[in-house]
Amino acid sequence: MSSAARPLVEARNLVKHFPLRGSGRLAVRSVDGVTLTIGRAEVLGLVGESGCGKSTLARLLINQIRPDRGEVIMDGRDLLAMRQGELRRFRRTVQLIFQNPLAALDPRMRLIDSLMAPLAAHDTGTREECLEMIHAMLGEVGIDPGLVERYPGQCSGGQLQRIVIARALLLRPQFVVCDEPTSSLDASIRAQILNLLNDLRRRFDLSLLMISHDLRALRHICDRVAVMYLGRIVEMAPVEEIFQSPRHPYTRALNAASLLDEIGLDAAGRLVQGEPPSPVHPPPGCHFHPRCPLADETCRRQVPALERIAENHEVSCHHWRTSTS
Amino acid sequence: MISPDETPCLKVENLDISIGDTIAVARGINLEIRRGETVALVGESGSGKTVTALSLIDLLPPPLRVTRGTVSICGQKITDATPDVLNRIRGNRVGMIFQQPSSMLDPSCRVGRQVGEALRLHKRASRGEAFERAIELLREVGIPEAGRRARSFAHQLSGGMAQRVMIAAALSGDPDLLIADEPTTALDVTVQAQILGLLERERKQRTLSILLITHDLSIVSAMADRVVVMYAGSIVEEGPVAAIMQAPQHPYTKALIDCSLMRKAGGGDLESIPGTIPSPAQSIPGCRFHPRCPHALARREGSVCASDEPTATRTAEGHLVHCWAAEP
Repeated sequence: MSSAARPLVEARNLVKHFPLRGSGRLAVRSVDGVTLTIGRAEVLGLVGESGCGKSTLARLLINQIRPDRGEVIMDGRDLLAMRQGELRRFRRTVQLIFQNPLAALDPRMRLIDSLMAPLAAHDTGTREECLEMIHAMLGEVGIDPGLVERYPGQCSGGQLQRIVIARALLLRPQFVVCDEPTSSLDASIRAQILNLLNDLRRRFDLSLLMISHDLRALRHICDRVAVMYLGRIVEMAPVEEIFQSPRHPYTRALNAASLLDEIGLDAAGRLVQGEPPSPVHPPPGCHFHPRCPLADETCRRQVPALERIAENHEVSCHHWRTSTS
Repeated sequence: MISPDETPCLKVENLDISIGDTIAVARGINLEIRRGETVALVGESGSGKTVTALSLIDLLPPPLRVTRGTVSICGQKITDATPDVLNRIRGNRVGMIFQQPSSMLDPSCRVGRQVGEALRLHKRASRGEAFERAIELLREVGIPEAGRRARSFAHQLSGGMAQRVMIAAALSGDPDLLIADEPTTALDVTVQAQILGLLERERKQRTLSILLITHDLSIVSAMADRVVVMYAGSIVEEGPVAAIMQAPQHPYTKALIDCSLMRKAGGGDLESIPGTIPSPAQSIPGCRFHPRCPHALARREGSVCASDEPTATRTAEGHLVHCWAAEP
């Protein structure tokens, strides 16, 4: 395969269990066999409820934690086989953006020093050269350079998230993981930040992994969306297919939850029962079966495979054919 | 239909809330909720929704305080009420649920006892009676194996279950008014509809009035009869839910609806509002929204928007807009 056609990120059968201390063989099964790819300049959305393993999966992809099993190929190279020097160069090319910008910035450092830190860590040039790069990047994210003399506590959430985005992009990464980047922001600011990310990803040819619990926040920016439930990917498809013809009952429930006004409380409530079970004791068979309106005996016994049902559309459900009726 | 002369469940008149004497966090709030009605109070953070709600039952944390105006619940004045009267109203007339159920429940007390506490204090129930009644209430709010669950502690419950417990506790005094401050924001999205459905069912069964505080407009459409929109401490628009969602009149309401629902499929920019929400300490003359307002009038040199606070214009029956550009 030529390198242009090869995806930037390839994850195969990733497994990560966190043992529970003092409980023998029990473990939190955060990521339980995930295979996915992210193309060059592609934005993949990852949606799921709290505790489903979204953030753990993201941390596996950027080698912040090592998987129990499986492999991650980044730009054609095996991430888990990299040596120190190579890892250091790799780290320049990936960046993270978190939910709460106030927590991502040192409260006792001026913003300019927080912006300077990654450049200094990677010996990017003289102080003057770095300042020049920072000012150029502040222009890209729409922040007045005067603002960076302040401390984080003196800025609004929207301003801080722009600073965090600028800091992430300073080292010109290829791959950026955004973990709920707009969840702590108000509606009017959220739209500004989503527009900014959309704009920057085109300008810098970025591959993004956008993590969210809210499908709505993904629609505008993503090319494809992966839906995760209790450590497994249950559906993966181009973004508009996820919205318009979701096949997995869980995707339909998530969809309904974001369209309460159109669907109504009763109908939305009928699509899913109960609450997510604990990832320590996931149900046998299909993890979703105790909450699923379509579940039968097969679902209780057999894990459904992630099945390719159309170009670019994969779903893991024994009843994907009936679930759209 | 409810007769207009019936005493409203909640009536707020010209309420101002300030930090100390100088910084106003809510100003000129007028609010009315009739029996069995759900009113949604909508706005972004810092708009004053939560302080308004807390002031209704005199729970403002100092240095926040009510500096002007009156609050009446079921015809009884809350402002200047004695602590005894207040306590009676809190237990019997008003129930409250909050965003983080796990942090509102006492971690060292079995949930059945917490749910029954109001009954012991306000209805003079014995410990045993209160516990039995608590189990009934837990069953009513959809907790499976309520008898066993009543003996659990808060940390043994999931988020959705904890919120059901909060609702049971809030309903235990058989209130007329339920104040729900972001009741589903901390819950998983697939649990939200279940909890909102429960509130809706209880409203119908008990003819409850609900003041629903939220920033999520899709919840508003699904739940509310009327909507009150706040921006930077002031009410900017209020009206029936259909009118507000389909034909908003205030430029802020329009922009908020556009950027909240994010209905737009790929391509093009999402609607957004330039600038940021002012802090209460910032003094903005005239309309608080005018520096961000897209309306041409707000931008004109020497415009009334920059000098005078807008008065309410009635654009339709029950639809009030606080904007100089609104036409009756």
